[in-house]
Amino acid sequence: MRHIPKILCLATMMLFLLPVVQKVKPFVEVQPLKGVYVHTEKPQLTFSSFVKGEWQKNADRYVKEHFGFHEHFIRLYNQCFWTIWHRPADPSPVLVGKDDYLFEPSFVNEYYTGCFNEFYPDSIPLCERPQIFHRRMSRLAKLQAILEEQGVHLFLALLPGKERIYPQYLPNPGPRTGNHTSKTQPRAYDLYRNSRYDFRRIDLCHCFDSLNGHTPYLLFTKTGTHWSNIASTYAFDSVMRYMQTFGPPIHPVTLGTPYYAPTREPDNDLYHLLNIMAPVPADSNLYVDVTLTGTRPGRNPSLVVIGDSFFWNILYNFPIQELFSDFRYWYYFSTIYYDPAHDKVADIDLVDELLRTDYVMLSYCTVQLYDCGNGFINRALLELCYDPGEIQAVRDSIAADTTSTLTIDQLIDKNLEQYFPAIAEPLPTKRCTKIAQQK
Amino acid sequence: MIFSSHIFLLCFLPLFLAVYFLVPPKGRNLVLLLASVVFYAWGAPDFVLILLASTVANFYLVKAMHRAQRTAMKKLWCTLAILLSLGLLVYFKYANFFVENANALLAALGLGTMGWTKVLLPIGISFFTFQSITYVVDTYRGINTPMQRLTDYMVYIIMFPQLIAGPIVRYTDIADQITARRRLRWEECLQGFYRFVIGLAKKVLIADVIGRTVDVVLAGDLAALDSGTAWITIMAYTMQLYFDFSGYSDMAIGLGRIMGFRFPENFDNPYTSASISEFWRRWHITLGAFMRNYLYIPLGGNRHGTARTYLNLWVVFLLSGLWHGASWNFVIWGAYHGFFLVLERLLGINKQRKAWRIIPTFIILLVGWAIFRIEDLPSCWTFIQRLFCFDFSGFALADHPQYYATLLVALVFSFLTLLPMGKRLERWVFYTRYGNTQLTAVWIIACLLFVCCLMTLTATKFSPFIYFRF
Repeated sequence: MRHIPKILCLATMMLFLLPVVQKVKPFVEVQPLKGVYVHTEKPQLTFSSFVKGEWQKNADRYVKEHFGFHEHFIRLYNQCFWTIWHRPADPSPVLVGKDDYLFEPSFVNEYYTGCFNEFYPDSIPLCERPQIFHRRMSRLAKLQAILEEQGVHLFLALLPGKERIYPQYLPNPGPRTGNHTSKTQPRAYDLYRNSRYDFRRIDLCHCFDSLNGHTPYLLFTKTGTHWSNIASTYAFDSVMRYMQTFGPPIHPVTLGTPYYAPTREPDNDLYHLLNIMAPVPADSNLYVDVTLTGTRPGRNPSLVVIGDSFFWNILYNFPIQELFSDFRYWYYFSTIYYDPAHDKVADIDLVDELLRTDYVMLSYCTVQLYDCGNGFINRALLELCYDPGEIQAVRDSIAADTTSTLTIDQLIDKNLEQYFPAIAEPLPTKRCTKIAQQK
Repeated sequence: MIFSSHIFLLCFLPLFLAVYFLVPPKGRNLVLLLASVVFYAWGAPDFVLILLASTVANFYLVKAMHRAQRTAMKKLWCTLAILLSLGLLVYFKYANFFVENANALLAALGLGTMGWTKVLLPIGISFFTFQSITYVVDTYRGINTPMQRLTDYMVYIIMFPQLIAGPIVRYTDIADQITARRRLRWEECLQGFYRFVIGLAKKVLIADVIGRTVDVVLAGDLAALDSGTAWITIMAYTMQLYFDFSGYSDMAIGLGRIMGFRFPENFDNPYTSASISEFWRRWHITLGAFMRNYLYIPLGGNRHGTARTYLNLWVVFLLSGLWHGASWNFVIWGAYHGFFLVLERLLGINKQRKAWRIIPTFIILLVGWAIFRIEDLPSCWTFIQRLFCFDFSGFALADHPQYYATLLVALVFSFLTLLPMGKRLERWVFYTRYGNTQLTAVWIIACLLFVCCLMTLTATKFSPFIYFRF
């Protein structure tokens, strides 16, 4: 028994070494954490990075993210927190509302205060932010008119956020649901609804409002942030019908009889983000299958979708690649999906891409509507009306003259019509050489 | 490097301990010295040479002082050594403060301003400066002879457990432990590990949790705070500070014990004090002792009449405030404490302990911590006004149960020793020599606490997105 202290000391050393052993040769199964997060790269030690302290900072972060048991510890901690407090640990991308409805914080903030703060830099005063929104919407009308004359059908699909459909389940306002000391600002959807814009759009918020409470299925599941699998299926079926009222025909589809099935992806996307040890609740929801029917209408039209993550639900259910001959998803007008040739919109010839497209769908939910297009509207207007050399010359002159704290893109967004006078016309007549030559 | 980081807990500490235990006792000081240099260089690579150079210079200055035959020469060497240490402290810690204030004065007089490049503060400078002063002064006073080996002296100054935030170990208290290394005892190592884990838990599971909410509240609009939130926030900060600082001291003491050193205690249930004088005997004890031995007594202490004693007390507390940070709020905080200390002496409150005085003392401390925490003086005044406007109209417990639960736990632990059961528990945890059964039971608890701390450190700030954004 006199060896007990020695044994305990050695056991303590073993305890310290266990994470290293687990890292080198895992003896406990590792399940990757759910959700997307940025991994720290292994830092390269250089003299200058050491003296500046950068290597040390990155090495600490790297060890924190890569030691054995990293995933287990996060799950265990989150589970403990969830069990004790019935809420996710801070900082969390998930908030628990009433009756265990889960919400993303930005949707809750949108409901209580409006999300203008999240989308516009501090350098833009609060009073100017609604004007920016209105400016963007009126430019969208011009862009739609220009594209329409080229046979490209641009439209906006306005999608509801969970906060709009189920406000009764929102968590109470508090420190975790946004900065409530700031003045409440108008919501983007209210600005949109209270104005008369002259462009083509389908307002699914309005449609969901009227469906709310009258469907046998949930429009948003308790554990998901996006519209439910089935609601998004019915919604896109309506969108396709709407598209064919002004554009080329689309291969007909049939929606089967709804049936109950255990919750499918991505209806649990928020629950997964909790990263807890308990399995996903075994709820069932209604689902519906989509099948191609009838005959193909000659050639399949092409489609570009520019928008937020709500469109991923459509991709889970619809055979989009079979419905559209050339489908591309310009996610937040930044990353490109379903285009083998390009990864980033910054690398594409936008005019070429648009001119070979039948439909361009801007797909934004209420929270993302503030930044509708994510820069697409300005860039498309400019590149359709001006040549690259002309645009660059103006950018260079702005860069040479400005003393503003705004970036060049922000300045152009603010004064687009001033820097590029052709765009100021009610319907711009100037076109870039590429389009002029085609004519 | 901080103790509550993954790199320290999972890489530095296991590696250091493995090497430390494997080398023979004679080589341990060298291992400790090298590890301490790495530890310091990790957080302040650009200052490590300054630290090493000043330490070497001090060592030889004190040697010269010790060799000097004439008292005048001894005094000269002693003054030089103290000036070197204090000079570095004044330059790195206070130069910015002095220049900013001088510039403000010059600007007010319409005389323009001086050009100045801001000086960065080397971590731990306040602590290792004080330790080197104790070495110089104790040797000068003949309490100890100087160390023979430079490496031993360097170990004393830059030993990593207490290098960054104390406790301030007086040279006489540790000199023998450095020069005559004992064989390590397994029980001591284990008890050191327990103490380290207790400190880590205090920091990670209590102080950091409370601190996150305190920071959010104090970063908001202070004028809009209701009195209830203001009092809860300052009470939470009071707990955060205590558990953070005493947790760090516990970790330092625990690490020292694992390595075979006995560092002095730094806290003794300070919030159970019934007077400000008592508080300063229980809070940051090693700083209090330093100020008494190396400032208050040299100033004359209480040997030159009542008025001079009060003046000395005030000067000590003003400088103590300034030592905590180069900002006016720290000076005011020091003066605030000095005022109550003098008042207690005038009223004779400090002579007899009465339990009911714990509450007013605690309230005085709370207001003091508000001055300490809020550096911007107008904001600090606004906050104090909110405390005493007694406007509870907008008060609502924020939807943050973990914060309140942790605060409650912190309060319970802070005042537990007021009860006899709490006293017994404290004696058992910190000052009992455990038998094998107790060692094993406490080991299991310590390991669980350690895993909880590591788990919390890992999960904090982990917040994934549903989809890749862009």
